[in-house]
Amino acid sequence: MVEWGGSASVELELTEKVLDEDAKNYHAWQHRQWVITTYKLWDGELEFVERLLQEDFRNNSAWNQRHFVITNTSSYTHEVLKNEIEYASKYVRKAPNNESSWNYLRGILRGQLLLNYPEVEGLCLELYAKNIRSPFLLGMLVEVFKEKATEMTDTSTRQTYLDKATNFCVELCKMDSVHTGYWNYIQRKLLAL
Amino acid sequence: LKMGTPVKDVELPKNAPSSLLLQKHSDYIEAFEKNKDDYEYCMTEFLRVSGVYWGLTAMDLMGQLHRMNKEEVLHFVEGCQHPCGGFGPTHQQDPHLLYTLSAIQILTLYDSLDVIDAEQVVKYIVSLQQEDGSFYGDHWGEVDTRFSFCSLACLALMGRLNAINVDKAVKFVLSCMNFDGGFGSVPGSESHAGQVYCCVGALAIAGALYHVDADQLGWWLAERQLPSGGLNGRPEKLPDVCYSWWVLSSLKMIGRIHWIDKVAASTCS
Repeated sequence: MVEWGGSASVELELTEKVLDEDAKNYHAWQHRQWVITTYKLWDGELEFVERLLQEDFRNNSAWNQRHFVITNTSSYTHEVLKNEIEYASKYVRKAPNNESSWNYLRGILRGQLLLNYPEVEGLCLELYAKNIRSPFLLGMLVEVFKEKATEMTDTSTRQTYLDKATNFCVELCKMDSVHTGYWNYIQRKLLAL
Repeated sequence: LKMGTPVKDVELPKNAPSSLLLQKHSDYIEAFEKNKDDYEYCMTEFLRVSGVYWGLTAMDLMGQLHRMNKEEVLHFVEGCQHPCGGFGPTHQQDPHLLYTLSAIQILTLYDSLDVIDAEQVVKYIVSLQQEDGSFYGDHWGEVDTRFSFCSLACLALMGRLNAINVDKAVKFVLSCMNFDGGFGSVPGSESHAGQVYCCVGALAIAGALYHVDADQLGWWLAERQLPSGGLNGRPEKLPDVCYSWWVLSSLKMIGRIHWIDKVAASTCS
């Protein structure tokens, strides 16, 4: 019916009204994505996402929308990725136990060498030093040190990094006991490296 | 040690039951079917055949299927089929893939596929597949990975998977895989445990599970389990027992079910 009427901006407004009441409404977000894609209404969408994240940065739908917009516009170039790491880090610092911001950060780093983005290790060590103990933080630290170990040729430094990663796994088994099955698996994988 | 902000979760009441009340569950299901004037019974008419399937499966799991009236059920299901082959949720309501699956599931449960026109069901499903491999839910044209699952599951139960273009169906499902390893309803849609179940199920039926990064998706699914033991459907949402099914069965399909703390999960349920 939108196709027949050509009233795309009205549809966008409608989804915004719904999301004002229910910011995670799955159907509203899906319809919004369809309107934006079909009528190429990408302009201003990142600002919309930013507004929603400022209201509730735990809103996973908004994080997903951010990924959707960037993938379909600038795409995740090296520059964009650095920018997005900084953006996600801002929210990670605000709430280190918020799954959504960590999920976004991990998602955009998938397939990337963390070596090329040292600010990630920087962020993690900074939070750890402040005594923050969120399972997402420690999970990321495991990744950081696992990669450092794999990239290292010197066996004793390699072992040091592997030990660090393993220690984080042990810590995770205690603090995130509901996910012991998973952290034990990650630990076993480290031993196999 | 600072965790850094509280986790969105529920708190279990101290007097919550600590064991599964099987007798009460089976009594409830048997009675529900009989009380046709009950408010909730009337309000769920729009999904009646699916409700029948869920009730029958639960009774079967509890070893109580014999308490349900097989003949009555089969007669009801027969009456839901339209000439186009699809099934509506109840008599005189329009056909849809969702209700077609429930109907076929019921008939399979009772080993009675022969009471309906199976060939016409196949034709109905085939007619709903699109060029990109996706499936409409009905002729009104909504696309959703739920309908990919409904189609593949229905055809697999009838031994007719080859009737549709399985490769294209798989391709569409994979296009709904997100940056976090999860799946949504259409490309770009947020990962959601219910959609994950449908996509993983569809891929499993199609023999295409190898496309999935089991470690990444397994972790996303395991993260659905909150400290209370309950499971949610996506990050930062409250747990709901329906997600126990979507999440656990998905983990089972990708061989990672041991990543869930089953004691915590059963206590919460």
